[in-house]
Amino acid sequence: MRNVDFHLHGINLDNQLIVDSCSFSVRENRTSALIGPSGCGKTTMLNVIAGLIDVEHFTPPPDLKLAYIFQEARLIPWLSIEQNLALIEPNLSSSDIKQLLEDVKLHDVASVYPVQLSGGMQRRVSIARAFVNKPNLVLLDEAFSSLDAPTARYLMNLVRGLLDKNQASALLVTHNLQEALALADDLYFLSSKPTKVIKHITNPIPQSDRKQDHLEIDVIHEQEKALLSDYPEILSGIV
Amino acid sequence: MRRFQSFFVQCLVVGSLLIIWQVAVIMFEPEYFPRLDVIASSWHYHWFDGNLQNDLVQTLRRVVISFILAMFIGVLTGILMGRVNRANQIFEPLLLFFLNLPALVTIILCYIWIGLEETAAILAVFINKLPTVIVAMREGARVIDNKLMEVAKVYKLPASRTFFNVFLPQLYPYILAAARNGLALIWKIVLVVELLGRSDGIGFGLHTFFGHFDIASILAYAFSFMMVMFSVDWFVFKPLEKRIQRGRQQ
Repeated sequence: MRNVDFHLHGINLDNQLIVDSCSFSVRENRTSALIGPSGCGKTTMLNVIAGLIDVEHFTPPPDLKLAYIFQEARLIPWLSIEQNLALIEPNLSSSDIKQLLEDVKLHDVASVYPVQLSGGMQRRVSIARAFVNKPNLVLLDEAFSSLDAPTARYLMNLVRGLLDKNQASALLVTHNLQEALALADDLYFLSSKPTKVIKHITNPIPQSDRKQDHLEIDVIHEQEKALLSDYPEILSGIV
Repeated sequence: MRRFQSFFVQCLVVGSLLIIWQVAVIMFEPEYFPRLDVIASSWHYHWFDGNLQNDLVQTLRRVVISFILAMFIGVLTGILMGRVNRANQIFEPLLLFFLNLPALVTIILCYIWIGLEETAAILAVFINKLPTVIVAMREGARVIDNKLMEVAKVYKLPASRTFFNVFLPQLYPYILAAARNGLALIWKIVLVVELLGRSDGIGFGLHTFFGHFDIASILAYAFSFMMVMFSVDWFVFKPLEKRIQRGRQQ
């Protein structure tokens, strides 16, 4: 996928201006993060891009093949794991399904139902599902927020690996700066409602370092501190 | 083990009822409370030498036709009313009207307007059942999990795949409940319909035995049909329920 520029402006929901003016880019095979305080309209923007909310002033680029990793796993409860994956692409062979599940480090779960898996395993299936149709842009909505730190880091590594493998770009929304520093190349800081982009920076942690399986948490903390001291007025309401 | 326990409890309940019946036989006149063996021999006579088999088939036919019609149209209308506000506004007054219309009035009017015909009988049963199916389905359609529907939308699933894999399965518990209640209601209405205007069926048989004050035959007929309904519940609804519950609970 080539670089994609998004321009969202004047988004009203229930007669309330949610998004004032937000322009941001997702570079080819890179990840951008929208970072903003809770309730600032990050998820709304992602839903607009995904086509879940129809607005007048936005038309998604025509060649986008989207996948969406939601805050919750959102697996279909009455379908087995295998059926959940095949729902997206019915022509998946059993070896494709096995490979997708192995990519998220799951084995022998194809025939079980979501309720039989732990919350973390369900998340991994939802990550596998996102890559079924070979997307070129993966949307991540606070995908690691409600998880404990080791699980979140583990899943971030999985997602990073799958993005590389599928040569896909990603757009992440989060209120967690550490999460954005661990995953994204471009960081866009958002204001509270009505949302505006107030700062764009490139991640100071080089991509090669972020791709390491065990990115040192100290490195992230260090960068977080540095950003906080550089942009206190911007980040005080976010982190 | 659980299945055996459930079977044991059910046998215990039936056994207790039979004992209570036998006590009533001893305490009251045998004409009002015939002995169990008298009921059994009456059943044997009607089944092998009488019209019980034919009456059972006729009643079942009416039940099945009106049940399928009511479920099919009721499910579609209920979904429409649950999902489309305008449809709900249009149909709600009609729904309220038919919900409160006494079954007997519908039956009598159908017989007067259409005549003492099969069509009138089935239409009367259908009209009586339809509103309750619609109400159940409307409630189900109102609580559809939109988060799951969003998954289907994001991944651009075709409409048919979304409907049959994501939307409709959310309504299965409501459909099953409507079907179970529906069948229980329909067969009772069918008996009234037959009693009032048909010349065959269990209802007609009961009407005839009532005229002869033949309580043993009335009970033999009633038990036969109840056994059929029990079998439907046991062999159709229970396995369906088990299948529907798969994945929905641990």
